[in-house]
Amino acid sequence: MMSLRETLRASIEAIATHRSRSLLTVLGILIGIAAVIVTVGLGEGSQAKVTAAVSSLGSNLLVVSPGSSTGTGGIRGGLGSASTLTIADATALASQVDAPDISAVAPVVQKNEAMSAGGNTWSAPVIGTTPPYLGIRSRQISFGNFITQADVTSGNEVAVLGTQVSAELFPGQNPVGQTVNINGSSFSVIGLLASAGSSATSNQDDQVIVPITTAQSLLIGGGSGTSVSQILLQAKSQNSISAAYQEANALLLQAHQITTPSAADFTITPETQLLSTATSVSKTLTFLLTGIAAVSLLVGGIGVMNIMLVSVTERIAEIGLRKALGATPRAILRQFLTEALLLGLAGGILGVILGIGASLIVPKLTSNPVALSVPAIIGAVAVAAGIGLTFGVYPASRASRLAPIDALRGD
Amino acid sequence: MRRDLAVRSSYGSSNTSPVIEIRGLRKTYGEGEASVEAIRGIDLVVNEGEFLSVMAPSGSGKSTLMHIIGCLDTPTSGSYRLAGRDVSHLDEAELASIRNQYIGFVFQQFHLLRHLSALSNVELPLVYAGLTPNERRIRATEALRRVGLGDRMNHRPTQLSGGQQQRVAIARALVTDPTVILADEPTGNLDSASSEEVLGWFGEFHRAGRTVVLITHEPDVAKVASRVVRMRDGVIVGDGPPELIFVGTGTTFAAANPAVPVIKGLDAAGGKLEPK
Ligand SMILES: Nc1ncnc2c1ncn2[C@@H]1O[C@H](COP(=O)(O)OP(=O)(O)OP(=O)(O)O)[C@@H](O)[C@H]1O
Ligand SMILES: [Mg+2]
Repeated sequence: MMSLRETLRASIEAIATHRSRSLLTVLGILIGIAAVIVTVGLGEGSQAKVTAAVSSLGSNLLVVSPGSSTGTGGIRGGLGSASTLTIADATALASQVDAPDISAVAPVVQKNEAMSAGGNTWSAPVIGTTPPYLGIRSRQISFGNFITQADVTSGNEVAVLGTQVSAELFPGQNPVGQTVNINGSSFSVIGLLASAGSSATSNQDDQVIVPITTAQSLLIGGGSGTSVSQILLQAKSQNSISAAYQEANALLLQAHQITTPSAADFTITPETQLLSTATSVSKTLTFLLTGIAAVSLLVGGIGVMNIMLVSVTERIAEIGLRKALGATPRAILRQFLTEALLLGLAGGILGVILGIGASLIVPKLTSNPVALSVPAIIGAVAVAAGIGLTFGVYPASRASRLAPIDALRGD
Repeated sequence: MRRDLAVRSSYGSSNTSPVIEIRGLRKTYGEGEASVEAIRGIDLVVNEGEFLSVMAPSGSGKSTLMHIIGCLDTPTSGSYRLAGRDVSHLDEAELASIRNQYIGFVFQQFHLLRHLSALSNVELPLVYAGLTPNERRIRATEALRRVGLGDRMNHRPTQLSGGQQQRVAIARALVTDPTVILADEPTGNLDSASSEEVLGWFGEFHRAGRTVVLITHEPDVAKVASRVVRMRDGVIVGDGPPELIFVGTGTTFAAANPAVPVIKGLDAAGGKLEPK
């Protein structure tokens, strides 16, 4: 009986003897595997990007915006302008009795303002809010302190800067303790936010945070003294997001004295919805690309079968000789199956190398991130070997069934 | 009692125990109208240590007989005992192991694997016999040395002359220490000098006590054996020592009669090539 080692050796010899044909044989598998690596990587990369972008907005977040998206008349009341949402709404939502699943509430007003410090000027969004904002948005303070409830109550002229604003106004300095002039009023800088990078929608480091009361009186002013542009809600946990949604919806309908839910003058958007919309798009894309890769692998497998059939025909004399010298049909079967397996494996490994190479180049060309996942790579190599084996069964069994006399005559 | 044992034993030491025992052998290719009866009833007994040649014109069933003797094919009817064992009804896998153990083939087209060295080619039957790489190397090296190719072991077939390739094939036939060496037109692709050399080796093996069956259509080749079997149209038409066969058939082989000088020449060649 021929040992596994001998079978392997004979197969490697046969593959090495026909080097260029072996390479052609595995080309289909090679390209298919490379395509799988890149497409799965692209899919996972963009999914990771979306997830990161959405979660950088805060965890278990619900955003209440003025205006309705369900009404037939489209969005009513300009988004963030003459708002239907007020500080009172935010206070009502913060009630632990009426809304037990909402753990934190932060009303927000926002306006772009010109600002200056020393000789430097800059323009950035100024956000008026309350202390829970920090936790809801998952932000960190790197120097000084965040605004306090006392700052909100008294309308103190204090500001917390994002890193980019700080770099523009106080280059190379610690801004804490300095003064910044915003829209003609002087604010003392009490803290510096840690960098959060830019999300899909905005640059989180290019902003200034002040107490909401101060913003309303000094910056936004006008008749809309108590209106807010958004209310951020944080649900107690991932599982209580829908309960928090129900509670907020009911409370706001009641506060705004609206009886028909479809006539609501506000919109509540859970973060998970953003996430799932975004990921479902990238999932569809991944699915599609994976389908294409699977088809190319199938074609690659048929290529292996095709060329192995040619190889069996070409090596009829060798098969006959091996049989004459004592090779059993099983030994021949095993030898050709091993060859097919090794071809598949080689195609897989070369495909992974090509795929990794492409994954390093693609982001440079398209700015799409490609995530290389080790399970995907191992899986791809295993699939390639499996394809070689599967499509090698037919040629191998043909080889093993050749009658030795026919095989010996065949030259 | 003793006789029985001798007949049944595969490796009976008696010089007269039959190695090949064929009774009423028939072989038909195809079915119905298109069928060809290549062998139509052959009885043949070959004893251990005999040097037999089967001689016949083209198409008379030599290769068919050789395939059956070599267990590459099975008879349509009749019985065949090889080394005392009935092998007429074995399956493919069993036949493969019988071939590996009992038969050493030498073919007209050499049938060496081009991508392997001479040494690896000679090792091939030992691979299927399940020997360790070390044992294989030792035995294959020894066999190649015996046919005078000790200095060509790592050459590929393409780097060897036809005569050298056939010597590699002979080494491969020899390396398993087979019961029968079976050669089908082994000189068909060789020039006369190489032919003489190759036939010299068969004479050598015969003198060393091996059983050799040589198949050919050439009288000059056939007569190097100690016994000649003549076939025509699938039946045996003559069987005896070469002197008798060639002289006995009168006109047909009169021209080829200088049998004795040929054999002498081969003896000389054999002596010259005899390994130390
Ligand atoms: N596989 C086969 N199928 C059908 N007929 C066959 C087959 N093999 C041989 N024959 C026929 O059987 C007969 C004997 O053939 P075989 O090959 O045994 O002759 P041979 O004596 O070896 O001839 P040669 O000297 O030309 O090699 C021929 O008529 C041949 O056509
Ligand atoms: Mg023939």
